[in-house]
Amino acid sequence: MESASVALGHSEGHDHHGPPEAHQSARIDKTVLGMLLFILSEIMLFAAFFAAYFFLRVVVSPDSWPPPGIELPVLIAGINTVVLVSSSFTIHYALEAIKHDNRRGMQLGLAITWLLGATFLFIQINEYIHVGFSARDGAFGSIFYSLTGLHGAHVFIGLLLLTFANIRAFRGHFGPKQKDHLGLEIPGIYWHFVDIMWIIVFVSVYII
Amino acid sequence: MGNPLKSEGAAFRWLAAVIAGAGSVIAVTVLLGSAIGAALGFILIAIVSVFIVKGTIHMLGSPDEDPPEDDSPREDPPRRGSGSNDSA
Repeated sequence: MESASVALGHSEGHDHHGPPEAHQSARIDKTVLGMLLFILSEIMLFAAFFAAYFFLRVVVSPDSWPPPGIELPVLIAGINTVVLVSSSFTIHYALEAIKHDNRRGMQLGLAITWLLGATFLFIQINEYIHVGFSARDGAFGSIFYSLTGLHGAHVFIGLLLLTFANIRAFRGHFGPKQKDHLGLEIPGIYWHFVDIMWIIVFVSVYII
Repeated sequence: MGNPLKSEGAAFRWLAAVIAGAGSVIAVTVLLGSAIGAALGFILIAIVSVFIVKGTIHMLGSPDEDPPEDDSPREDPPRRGSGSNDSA
């Protein structure tokens, strides 16, 4: 009898299978804390590269920046900026669509976002081919390729996340409830972060 | 604008604010020169940094806000194999 009640209590009280859940903060949600630590580490990484860029620009060669003979393709980079910023609008549209149970809209928005991201990378690689200087050509070349390349790597990772999100979307995953489209919301936050960083890179390197 | 780490919508609003700020920096740079544009950019980034630090501190909270802990004594879980030692 006792063993039967113990068995019943065991089945009622322990729905969770597998190892016990890890300890977590009572003040902050674990997913938000994870994103906070990740984004903060990314900001510090980019800040280190920006510090190197402005150090070289202001301290090392304040008079000639970029060096004579080097002209950056501002128009192409501007078009690329429009392409990348547009992709943030389309992923926002995709999330709004799934929140309103519009599955086709979500799939369309995600597919266009992926295409715009891939277009950005293609244009950037094309720019590297035709820009006329390499990472070996002095401090400017080094920091130019480092900063834009670091961002390009982030776009590539974002594209990988979007690839998984696209596959899941076209397989019928995700739903209007927040817990059902978390796999789309997290890549969306990351994608907006990548866009924000590109805007700062573009203004710093190409405009100012 | 909300915590950009909690929802994509809040992150999108932050992006819109950054686009507006970058537009103003580009306009000032074209009209008044690189030095003034860079100064405006640094001021905007400093203001945003203050918001981020304050928001992070607010989000993490303080130890005073923790719920009171249960002071009742806890029972230690029985050690594995302690029964066999007792019987021995």
